[in-house]
Amino acid sequence: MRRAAILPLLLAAGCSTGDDRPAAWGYISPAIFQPACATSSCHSRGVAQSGVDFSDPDRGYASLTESWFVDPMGTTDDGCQAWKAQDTLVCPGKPFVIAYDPGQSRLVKMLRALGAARMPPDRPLPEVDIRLVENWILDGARKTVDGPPAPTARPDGGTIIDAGTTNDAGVSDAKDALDGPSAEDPDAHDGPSAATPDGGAHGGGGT
Amino acid sequence: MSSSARRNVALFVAVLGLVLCAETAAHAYPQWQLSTGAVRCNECHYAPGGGGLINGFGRDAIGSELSTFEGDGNLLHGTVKPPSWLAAGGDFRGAFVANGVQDVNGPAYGAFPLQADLYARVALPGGISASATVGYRGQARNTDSPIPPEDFQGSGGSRFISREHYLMWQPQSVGPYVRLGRYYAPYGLRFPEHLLYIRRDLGFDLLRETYNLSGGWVLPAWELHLTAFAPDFIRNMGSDEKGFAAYYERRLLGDKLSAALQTRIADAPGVARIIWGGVGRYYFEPLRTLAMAEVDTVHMVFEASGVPSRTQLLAIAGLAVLPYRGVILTLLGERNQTDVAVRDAAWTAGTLLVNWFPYPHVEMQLMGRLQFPANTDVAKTLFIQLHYFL
Repeated sequence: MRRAAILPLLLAAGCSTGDDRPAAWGYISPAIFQPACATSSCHSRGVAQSGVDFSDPDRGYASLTESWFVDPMGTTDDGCQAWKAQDTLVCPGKPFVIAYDPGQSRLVKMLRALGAARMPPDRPLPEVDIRLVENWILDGARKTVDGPPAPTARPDGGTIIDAGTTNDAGVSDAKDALDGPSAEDPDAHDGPSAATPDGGAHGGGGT
Repeated sequence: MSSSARRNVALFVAVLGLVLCAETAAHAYPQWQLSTGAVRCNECHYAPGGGGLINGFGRDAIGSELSTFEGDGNLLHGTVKPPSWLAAGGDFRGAFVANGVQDVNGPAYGAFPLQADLYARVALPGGISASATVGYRGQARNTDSPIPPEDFQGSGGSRFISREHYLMWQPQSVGPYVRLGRYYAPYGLRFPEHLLYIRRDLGFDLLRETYNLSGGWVLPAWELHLTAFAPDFIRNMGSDEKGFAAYYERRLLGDKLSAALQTRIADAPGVARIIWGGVGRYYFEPLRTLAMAEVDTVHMVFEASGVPSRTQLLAIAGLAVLPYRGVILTLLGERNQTDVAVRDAAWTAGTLLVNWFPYPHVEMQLMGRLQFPANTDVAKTLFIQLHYFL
């Protein structure tokens, strides 16, 4: 009750201009993505538009760090899997988040409407929220504060290059990831991001 | 895929996304409470907290008092008279939307069906009734889209949806009640515009109905609604929250003023939210104007270790002017401070609504909405809606 009583005072004082919120998925998912994106007709569990499900932290994290496409040309050798026991194969594609590299993460491009349709389409996120997401990616896009970085991150901080699959939002495909280094990537020791000999498709098998 | 084709696909997806996120559902019109002489929502609706199927009094009111031109507000304009134990109705809405969010593809435009719901209520002996709503839900899922790795629910199974279905014991419209089923717990200013922050961000967004067990009293001077709620574990088509909500409203000053206290404690994946709020309404009769306001504080306790609790604040205030029969002009200002300790973690919005009920069963609505996310691009929305109800 005391907290409720001082809220008007906090607001009257203009709050703080600093952002002391944790750049952690455990905060970002329930405080930013679930309310802004997991609406029933968009990225809820029941609908999961474009395969993205922000209904809870686990599903949201999987949606951002793994990406699957229906690919008639896919093979199991490419890491593709049968979808719901049907003939269709789903294959791994470029994830929405590239750990350590917000500049190359499709998620950030969508949040900022940089060469991609803006998300959320009805209300852009405040700038401080987008920056918080970028800081989380810069820190490795970890699922937990003390956990490992996102599986998209290579040990050297470079990015995994996918098979060039396009996506329904019309945003960049794998070639975009090769366009150059991100100035924000603190671990990009090797200069421009480039396809490495082992930089094949992300071979995650689902969670 | 060429870049232009890709842009077209992006634009298409953006419009569909906006369309689907803009769907609406049947609710009460809080602008009519106090201003029309009706003080309780269930004077015009069967549901204790309002919304959904309207009752005989409500149909008479829309036919004789609330529309610009009089007519028959009964089912199918009175051409069909159902037996006394059956009440039925329906809502059909179509809309045009123009939305600008400073997107690379420019503003998005769309014209689309918004809602198609049928309602039925069967009165049983002993003050018991069974009510259900069945509707068709739009969906733009493209099978060429990426799909989630697990637990994907096929879109074909999700098209038909029953937003509400419940059993209720309520011997009289004034007095106690018990209700069990799927519906929105009575809470806050129940605007139909689910995109308002107090609806969307407090657990009452489109299709977010929960399964509830409610009890309460609805009396002329006050009403109390207590609700325990849980998610739809079967279809995953509603809210993911489980918890408890309470709403107490008191009418004062000869039914010109209403004041309400409310709380909602909700446990969702990743966060528990403790919400406290208040609602106030005052009808200034000489100006035919209803002043409305709601403020809610949300204390968020996160599940993840190392993430401290935070506090959010949502507020809305506005005026509804009823200058002429069948016309409502509503101006609303909103603030969604997603973190009270971070000044720029916020949206501010202004919305103008023009609702016109020219004849019974017909409504036209124009909505203009500006949203100002702190330090980023403004979102501009123009929304025109045509609504027909059986």
